[in-house]
Amino acid sequence: MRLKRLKLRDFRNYERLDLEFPAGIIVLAGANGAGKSNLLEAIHYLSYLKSFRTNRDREVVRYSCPLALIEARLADDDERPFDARLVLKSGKRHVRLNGNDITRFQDFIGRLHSQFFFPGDLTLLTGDPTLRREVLDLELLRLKPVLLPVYQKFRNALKQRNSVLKLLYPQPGRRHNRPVDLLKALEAYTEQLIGAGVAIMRERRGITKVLNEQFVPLYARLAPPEGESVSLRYLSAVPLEPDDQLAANYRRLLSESQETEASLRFTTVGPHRDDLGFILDGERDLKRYGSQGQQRSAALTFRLALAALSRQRLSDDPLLLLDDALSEMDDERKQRLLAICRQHRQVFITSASQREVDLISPLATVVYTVEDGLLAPAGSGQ
Amino acid sequence: MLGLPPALADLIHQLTRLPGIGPKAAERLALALIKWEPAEVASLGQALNDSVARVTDCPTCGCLSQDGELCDVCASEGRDASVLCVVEDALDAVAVERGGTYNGRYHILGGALSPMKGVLPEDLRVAELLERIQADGVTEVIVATNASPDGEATALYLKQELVELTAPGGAALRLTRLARGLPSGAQLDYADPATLQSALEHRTEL
Ligand SMILES: Nc1ncnc2c1ncn2[C@@H]1O[C@H](COP(=O)(O)OP(=O)(O)OP(=O)(O)O)[C@@H](O)[C@H]1O
Ligand SMILES: [Mg+2]
Ligand SMILES: [Zn+2]
Repeated sequence: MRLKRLKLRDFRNYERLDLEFPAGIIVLAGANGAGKSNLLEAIHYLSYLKSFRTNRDREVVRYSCPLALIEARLADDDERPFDARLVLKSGKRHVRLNGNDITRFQDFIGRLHSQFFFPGDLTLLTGDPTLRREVLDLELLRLKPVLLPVYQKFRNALKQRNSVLKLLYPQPGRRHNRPVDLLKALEAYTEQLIGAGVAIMRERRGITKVLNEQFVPLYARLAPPEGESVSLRYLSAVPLEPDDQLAANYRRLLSESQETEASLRFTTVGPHRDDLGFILDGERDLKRYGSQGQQRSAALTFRLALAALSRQRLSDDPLLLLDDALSEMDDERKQRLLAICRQHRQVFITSASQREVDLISPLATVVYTVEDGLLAPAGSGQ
Repeated sequence: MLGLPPALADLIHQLTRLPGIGPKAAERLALALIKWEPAEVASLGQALNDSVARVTDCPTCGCLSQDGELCDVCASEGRDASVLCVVEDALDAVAVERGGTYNGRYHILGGALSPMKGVLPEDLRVAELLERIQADGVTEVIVATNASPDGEATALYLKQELVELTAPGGAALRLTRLARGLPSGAQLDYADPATLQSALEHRTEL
């Protein structure tokens, strides 16, 4: 995937931008507040129809302007071009793909495939498990769209089952006085939950495995030769092995959690409570024991692994957008990260440090200096 | 600005209360209706009044019937009383009946289970179903609730309720579910993945 041309009108601090981008590493250098992240934000919009830092479209419209425009010419890895166009007003969006109006946003999202890393992305590692489950599920659905109805089934069964639990236990720990029918309804939803839940756990375990196959060597390339190792593990309260016992194990855990369910009045085991673990040196939780730089390396490697996986599975090399990704890494790591980036089709890297820019420049196709919403080529390294 | 005559506006408003009728469709219907002959309009009104006054639920199965009597299926001597087809609502029974091959009887549940939307087991005609199974010597129950999540949950729920019942003579009651698969005349490459998967799972011997 490649961004060939970008046009911005009144997007953040860009009044007017018309630029063609080459393949390879593109550096956006500039002081704090220059507009480096704003540019990546525009590309993020084209990819996900949302920002990575706000939920309100109107915040990205240039101060006191009526609307913002983002327009791009993109090309997939077979060099087939396509055009994306996005107009943002407060509360309204107008989306076009190849000149056609798009009303179902899911037809647009993901068409421009990108992997994004920014400083706040560290919360993927340190934050709530929900974030990690979401990333896994998003990737799974990208690779296997047929799973969507399974997820819908699971969510529905979970909601219905929780409603039954609330009726069955009108107050925490106190059971309804005529519970027979409700118990049977609970059992019906338990069956649905297990059916869809087991499928989801299996798929998540599977994708964690293939992601890990990309992740481990990538992390090893980033870390020093005798340095730490990090791997991924799907963590579930339900024993996932042996596979033919998965449904039975889930059923057993659900029946063992009856007391907890009675007091909490919701379903406490299942894929909706699982997690993706980052494991340091084969045994420890990276988010508790890892250093800042190690955690940052892992979060970044995770994005690189997702990109590598989609290159392998979908023969599509996603755009890499690395916003201030190098800070907090030692110089060796920076160098090794850049070596990995060189193997991707197109990579945008921002930096506010001249020293960093000097480090990247020799490997970059082009370096832009960003100032006040204007881009000027600062020369290329090659 | 020229508004609609109040009588017409009222008619349009009444029509929009019908399911599937939006303001535009209601306008078209109303304009067509006012061009009818008075006699035609009167007979439409008569049909409407009659339907409201006379259409009732069959006291046995819950299908649509008239004047509180048994429906045609329940009244017919030729239908097999030992087989019951359980459906969510009366129109589902009409659909199965159109298929023309089913020779058993029906039982209308009156909806599908959905605790989230406030539909609980006690809101479905399950007690009546259990009673009929015992009283009529039923040997097989075909659960024909929809293939939607709620329909599936209702089927699983009925299984809980019925699984321990016995048919006359002590044999287990036969519980079946409608197969899910390709609609007839369908092109394989146009079928959605879920349908294909289900068709594969429920494949039959050639
Ligand atoms: N809607 C808007 N209209 C005009 N300018 C805006 C708007 N939103 C933000 N800005 C300006 O954009 C600038 C921030 O740009 P950006 O976040 O891209 O900086 P950056 O180059 O990434 O800096 P850093 O190195 O600190 O990350 C701020 O100066 C802010 O005033
Ligand atoms: Mg920034
Ligand atoms: Zn009847």
